[in-house]
Amino acid sequence: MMEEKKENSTIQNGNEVSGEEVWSIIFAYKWSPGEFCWIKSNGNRVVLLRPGDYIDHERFEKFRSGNMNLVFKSSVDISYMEAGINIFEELQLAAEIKGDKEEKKNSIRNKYLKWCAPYLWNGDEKVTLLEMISLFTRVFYKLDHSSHLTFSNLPIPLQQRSLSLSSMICSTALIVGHTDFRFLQDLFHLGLFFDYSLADESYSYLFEDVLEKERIEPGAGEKALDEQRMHHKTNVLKFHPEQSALKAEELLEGVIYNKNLFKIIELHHETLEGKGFPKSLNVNDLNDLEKIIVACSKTMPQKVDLLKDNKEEKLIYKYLIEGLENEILFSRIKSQIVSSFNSIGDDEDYVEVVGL
Amino acid sequence: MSEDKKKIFVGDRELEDSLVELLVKLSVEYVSDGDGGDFEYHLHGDNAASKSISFSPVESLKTFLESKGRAIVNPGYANNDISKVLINRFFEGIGSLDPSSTIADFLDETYTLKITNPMNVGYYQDLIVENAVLKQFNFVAIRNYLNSVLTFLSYLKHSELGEVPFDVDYGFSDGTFYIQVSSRVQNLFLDNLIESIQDSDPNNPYYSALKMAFENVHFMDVFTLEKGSKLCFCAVWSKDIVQEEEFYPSLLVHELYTVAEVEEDHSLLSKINIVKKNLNDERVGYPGAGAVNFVDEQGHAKNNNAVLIKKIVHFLDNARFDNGEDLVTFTNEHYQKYISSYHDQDSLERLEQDDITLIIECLNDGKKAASLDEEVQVIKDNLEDDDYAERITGSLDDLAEEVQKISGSSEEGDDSQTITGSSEEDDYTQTISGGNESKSDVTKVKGGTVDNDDGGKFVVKGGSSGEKKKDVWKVKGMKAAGKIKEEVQRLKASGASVEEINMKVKSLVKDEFGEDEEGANMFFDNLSDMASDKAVAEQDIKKSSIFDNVQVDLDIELPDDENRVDSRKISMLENSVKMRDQQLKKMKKLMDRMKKEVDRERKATADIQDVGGTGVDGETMRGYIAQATELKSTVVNLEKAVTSANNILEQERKNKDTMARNFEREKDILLKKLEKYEGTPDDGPTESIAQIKKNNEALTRQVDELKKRISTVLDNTKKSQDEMVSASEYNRVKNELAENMTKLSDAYTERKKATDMSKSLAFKLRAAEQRIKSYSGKLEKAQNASKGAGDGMVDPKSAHRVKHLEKTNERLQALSKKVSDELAEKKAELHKTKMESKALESKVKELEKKLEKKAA
Ligand SMILES: [Fe+2]
Repeated sequence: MMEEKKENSTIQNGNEVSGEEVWSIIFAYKWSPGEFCWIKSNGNRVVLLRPGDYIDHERFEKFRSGNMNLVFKSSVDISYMEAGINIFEELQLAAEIKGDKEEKKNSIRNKYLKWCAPYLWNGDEKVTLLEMISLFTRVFYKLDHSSHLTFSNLPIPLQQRSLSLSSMICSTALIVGHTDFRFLQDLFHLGLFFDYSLADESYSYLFEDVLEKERIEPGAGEKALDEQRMHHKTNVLKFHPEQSALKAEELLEGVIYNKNLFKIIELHHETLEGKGFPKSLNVNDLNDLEKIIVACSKTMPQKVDLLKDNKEEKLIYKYLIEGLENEILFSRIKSQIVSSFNSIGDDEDYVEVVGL
Repeated sequence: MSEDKKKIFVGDRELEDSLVELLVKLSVEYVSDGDGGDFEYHLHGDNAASKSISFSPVESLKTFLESKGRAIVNPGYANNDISKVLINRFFEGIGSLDPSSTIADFLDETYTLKITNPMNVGYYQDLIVENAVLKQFNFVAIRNYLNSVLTFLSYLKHSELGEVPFDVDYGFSDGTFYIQVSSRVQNLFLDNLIESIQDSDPNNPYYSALKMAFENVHFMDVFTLEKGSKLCFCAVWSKDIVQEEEFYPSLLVHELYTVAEVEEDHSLLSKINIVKKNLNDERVGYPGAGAVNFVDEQGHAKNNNAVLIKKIVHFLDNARFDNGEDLVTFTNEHYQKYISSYHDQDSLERLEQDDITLIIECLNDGKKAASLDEEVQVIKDNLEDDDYAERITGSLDDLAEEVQKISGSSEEGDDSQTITGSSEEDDYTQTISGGNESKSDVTKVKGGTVDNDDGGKFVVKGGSSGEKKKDVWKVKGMKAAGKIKEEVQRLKASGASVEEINMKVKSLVKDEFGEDEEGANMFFDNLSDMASDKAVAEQDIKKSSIFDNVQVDLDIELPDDENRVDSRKISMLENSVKMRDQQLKKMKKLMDRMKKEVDRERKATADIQDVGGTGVDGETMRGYIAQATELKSTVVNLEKAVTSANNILEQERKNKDTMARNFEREKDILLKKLEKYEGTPDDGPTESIAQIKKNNEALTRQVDELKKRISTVLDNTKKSQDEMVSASEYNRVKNELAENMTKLSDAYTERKKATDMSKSLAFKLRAAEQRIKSYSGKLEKAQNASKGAGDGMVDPKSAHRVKHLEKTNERLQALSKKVSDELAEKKAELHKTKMESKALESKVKELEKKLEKKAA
C-alpha cells in the first residue's frame, strides 16, 4: 500500500489516468473511488466500475493477466486521500508501540482533525460521501470471508448507506476522542450491519422509504407501513435492531474485538427524547458513544447518493451540527465536536474536548 | 412530586441546629411523628431494617453500607452548589450522565475524556491533575481518587461486570473541582462496591479501591442509570474545606441494590442489568481476587434448589406440627431430627449448607418463606407451555395412586398410629405400602431425581391424632380427576397456555370441593407443584434461577487450562455450536416476543382502557371505553361486510360455473341439432339456424351480464377489503382519540406541575414553622432562665449568663422575625400557585367534558 501511495500522489479529482497506475489504484481500494473503463481494441469504452462499486480483486487479477487496457477517472482527490490513510496507519501503529501511547494517539487525533477540517468542517475543500467511504473502507474494512460475502450481498443501496453511516460514526468517534484503532475498527464493522436483518426480501424501495420516514420522524415508519398496506412488516421494522444485533453477533464473532459493542446495533433507532425503539431510551440513558450512534443514524439519509454531495462541503458540520440544529438534547455531542475542531493545535498537542 | 420524597424519619432524636439549618436549606423534611414505616430513609441508627442516612461519621463504611446505610452527609460541608444538586438527585432516585444542565452551570470550564483501554489511564489522569495543580486544588487527593475509581472500573471490566469506554467528565470553578466517571455495567450489585471498601491489601488492590476513593474526596455520589446498565461516580472537591480534624467526606449511594435486597424484593431485578456471561475478551491477569459476578456464581444469588427446598420446608413444617413443636424456634437439631424421615433421602444430597440454613430460616421467618414461594412461582411461571398439560394429567395419575394408599391406610387406623409414633424409616415404609405395597413403585413413578414429599406428608398428617380431614382432600380431589383430565386435554388441543390450564383446573377443583376452599387450594397447589417440579427437573433445575428468567444468555465456558492447547480446536467448535444453539434460543425468545407483540396489537383497542390507569378519572375512562367499544364494533362490522361480500362473490362464482356449464351443454345440444339440419339441407330449416343464432346471442348477453355482475361484486369486495385494511375510519377515530388524550395529558401535566409547586411551598412553609417552633422553644427557655436569674442573688457568673442569654434572645428573635417574614411571603406565593392550579383544573375539566361529548 505504501508504494502505491507515492505513485498516485498526483491524481486529482476528475483526472484520468491509464496504464499501470490504474492497477495500483484498483488493488489499493475496496470500493471504487471513481470510474474504471476498459478500452477495447476498437476504441470503444466499457464501464467496468462506477464510483462506489465494490471492487472484486479476484476478478481484476484475471483481467490483469489478460493485459487489458484500463483507464481510471477519479471522483476523489487521491493524494489527499492517501494523506488521510497515512494518519490512520500511524494510529494503528501507535496501538502497538509501548510506552506513552495515549499521548501519541492523541497527537495523531490532532493530525486527523487538522487533515479533515477543510473537508468535513470549515468547507475549504469539497467533499463527497464517496471520499469518506473510500478512506474508511481502506483503513478499517477487514471482514473475514463469510461476513464479507454476506455484506457484499446486501442490496446495493443498503450497502452504500451502511458504509456512509459507518464512516460517519468512526470519524465522529475519533474526533471526540476515541483514539483506539481496534475500537474504531469495531465501530466501523458494526455500523455496516445495523439493518442487516432487513437485507432479505424485506428491503425494497418501499421499505427504504419507510425507513427514511422513520429516520426523519420517529414513529412515522409505522404509519407509513400502514399507509402502504404493509402492516405485516411492522414487526420486521420494530424488531430489526435486536434481530440485526443477534445475527451480527453470530456472523462477526471472529471479527469484533470489543464484544460488548454488539449492543450498539440495538440502539440505532433510539432517540434522545425517548421516542425511538426498541427500548425508548432517553438522553439520560445513553452515554456519549451511544449518542454518537444515535446522532449519525438520525442524520444519515436512508438513500445516499455518493456523488450527489459533490457540491457539498463540511460534511460533519452539515450532518451533525446543521442536521441537529434544533435538537437541544444532542448539545453535549455537538459541543464536543465543535470544541474538538476549535482547539486544533500543533501536531504534538492534545486537543481538549470541552463538555458543557 | 419530587418534594414528597425528600423526607427523613428521625424519630424522637434531637437534631443539632446546624443540621436543622442544612435540612431546611436542602428542602429536606424531617419527620418525627409516627413509626416511620412509610419513609424510605431513616436517620442512621434508628431502625436497622430500613435504609438510613447518617449525619455524622461512621465507624466502618463497609458495615454501614451492609446495614442499609445509603448516605453519609457532613452537615458542615454539604453546602456546595454541586453537592446540593447531588443530594437532590439522591432523594429523587435519579441520576444523569450529562452534567450539562445541572452541574456545569456551577463550573467555569468543563472537559470530556474517553478512556478505551483500562491499561492506559495514566495519561488521562495526568491531564486532569495538571488542571488541579494549576487551579491550586488538592491534586494529590484528586490523583488518588482517579486512580482508585479507574482501578475499580478496570476490575469490573476484568470480571465482565463493566465495559469500556469509560467516559470521564471534569470541570472546575474557582472553588470547586468536579469529576464524573461512568461506564456501562452488567450484573452489578451493591455488594460489588462493598467488596471494594475493605482494608487495603497489596495482593488484592481491588478490595480497597473504592475505600481509597472515598477517603480522598470531599463529596461523592455513586449511582446506576438505565435499568442498572450505567454506573456513575461523581466527586466534588471544595477549596474552602481545609482538612480539619473533624472533617469527614460525604457519600451518597443510590439506585444500587444488594443481592439480599433483590432476593427480598424480586421487582428490583428490573433495576439491574442482568446478562449472563457472553464475552470472551482477551484478558490481562489482574492481581488478586477480582469482582464477584453474583449472577454467574453458582448458588450465591440464585437458588438452584428452590423447589426442593420448598418441599422440604413444607415437610418439616408438618413434622414439627405433628410433634407439637411448631411454636418453638426451629433449630439445626430439629432439622437433623426430622429430616431422616424425609422420604427421598437421595435428593438431600443436592442440598448445600446454605440451603439448609435457608430451610431453617424459612421455618422461623414467614417473610423468608414467602420469598421462597415467590421464587418457586417465578420458576413455575417460566415453564414451557408445551408439555404442561401432560404433566398435569400425569400428576393426576400419581395422585390417584396416593389416594388409593390413603384410602387403604385410613381404614387401618392402627397402622397410622404406629407410624407417627416412630420416625424410623421401616415403619414409614410399612405404612405407605399398607395400601398396595408399592414403595418401589413410588420411587419409580416420581423418578430418581425428582423429590416428592407427598408420601411423607400424608403419612405424618394421617397419623397425627386421627386428623384424617387432611387426607380427605386428596380423595375428594380425585373425584374431579376424570373431568380435569378431559378438560386439560381439550385445552391443550386448543393451544391454551399454562396459565389458562391452571385457571381451568382450579375452577374444576373448586366445583368439586364446594365450600371446602382450603381443601381445594391444597389439592390444586399439590397438583401444580407436582407438575411444575417434574418440568423443572426435566429442564435441568440449574437453569431456573430468578436471574435466568430475566434474560436469555450466551453461556460460553472457557476450556480448562490443561486441555486448552490440545483441545482448542474442538472447544472452539463446541463453543460455536453452543453459541449457535444459544443464538437460536435467543432468536426463539425474540420470536415469542414478536408473537406477543402481534397479540398485543390485536388487542390494541382493548388496551385503550388501560391508558386511563395513569390518573384519568372514571368518567373520562368510561368515555374512552365507550369509544373503544365503538371502534371495536366498527371493526367487527367491517369484518362482517367483508365476509358477506366474500360469500356473494363465492355464490356468483358458483353461478357463473353453472351458467357456463349450462351454456356449454345447450351449445352442444344446439350444435348437434345444427349437424342434424346440416345433414338434411333439403329441409332448409333456415329459421332454426336463425333461432340458434338468436339463442346464442341471448346466451352471450347473459354471460356478459354475469361477467359484469361478477366484476361489480369483485369491486365491492375489494372496496370493503380496502376499507378493512386501511381502516381509514378506524384510524381517524383513533387519531382523534390520541389527540384528545395528548391534550388532556398536557393539561394534567400542567396541573401536576402547579400542584407540585404548591406542595413544595407548603412543605417549605412547614419547615419554616418547624424552625420557628424550635427557636421559640429556645427563646422561652432563655426568657425563663433570665427571669430566674433576676429573682435570685446577682453573682457575676449568673450576670454573665443573663447577658449571654439576652444576646441569644435577641438573635433568636431576629431570626424568628426573618423566618415569619419568609413565611408570609411563602404563603402569598402558595396562594397564587393554588389559584393557578385551580384555573388549570377547570381547564382540564372542560377538556374532559369535550372528550366525553366526542366519545358519546
Ligand atoms: Fe435500522
